[in-house]
Amino acid sequence: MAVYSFELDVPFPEKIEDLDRKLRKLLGNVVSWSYSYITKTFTIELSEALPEDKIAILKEAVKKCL
Amino acid sequence: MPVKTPIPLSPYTKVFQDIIVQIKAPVENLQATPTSLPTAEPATGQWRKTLDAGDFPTITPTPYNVAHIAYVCLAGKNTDAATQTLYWKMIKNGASVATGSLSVSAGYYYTVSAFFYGVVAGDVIEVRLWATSANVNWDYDGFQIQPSRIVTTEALNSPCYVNFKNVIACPTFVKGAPGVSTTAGYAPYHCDAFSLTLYGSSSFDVLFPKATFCLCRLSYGDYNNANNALTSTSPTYRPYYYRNCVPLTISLVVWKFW
Repeated sequence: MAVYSFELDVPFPEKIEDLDRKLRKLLGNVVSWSYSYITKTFTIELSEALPEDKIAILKEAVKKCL
Repeated sequence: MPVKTPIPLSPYTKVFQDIIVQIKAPVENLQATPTSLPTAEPATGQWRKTLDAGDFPTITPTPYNVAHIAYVCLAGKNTDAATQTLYWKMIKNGASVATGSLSVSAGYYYTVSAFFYGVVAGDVIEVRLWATSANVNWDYDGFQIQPSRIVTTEALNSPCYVNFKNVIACPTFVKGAPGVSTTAGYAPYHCDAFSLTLYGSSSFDVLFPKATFCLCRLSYGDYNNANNALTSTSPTYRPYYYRNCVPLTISLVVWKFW
């Protein structure tokens, strides 16, 4: 298991099903994710850790799913 | 004759205080028959409550500051033959607080532990659940309000000897088939700076509580996952939940200098 957390500086949708499908299709091993509309923090738990080079682009990849 | 101000023998006075927290027992419900979850976000939460003054811990003496965390725990089971996705959303006074999703394997229980930070009496909080299959159900809910960031008027901005005592892990749920996923410690603060995490009684020769983080913070719902939720799954436990260590007595000697 690996957990990644970062602040998202873009509007987050109220309807989340499409985003969820995109995230799961893009990353493949999503266990769970959460987003706080208050703290703007996005947290994602993957069943396997990402390679270092993928961690660096994870935030941009998530933003593209929004 | 001029009036002379007497010179005190000691340049300070000491104020002794015991902050006593009486936390309410958790409120739990286990449905006799589980309720299927909708496959789209419901208009109102399966769990919804207007917070009443009687839901909150009693703290004596009345503190200068306390931040309350409403802990809402919902649990159920994926009875489908395939893994399903569970969606959740936390709402406070009609506004979205947090949202997310969770994969739940076939036959597994899931638990959503939602932490509403900074609640007050009169707030309306709710948790909505829905899933990719109506074969995902829910049948358990638990609720408790916990206090964080306590400080008294006397102790604020003063050096204090502090003894955190009577530390309990809470909530303790008993309905369903409960299991504890993780118990997290509380964090004493000195000048609003984090130092360490503790799980039991402990004393400090000097802490200087400031207005932001005060004497200590709880973990879940404050320095971790404030206004957010943690999720978990288990083949056995329902709920499979998170607990905070909460000091129920904080003994202070406050040094007040002339």
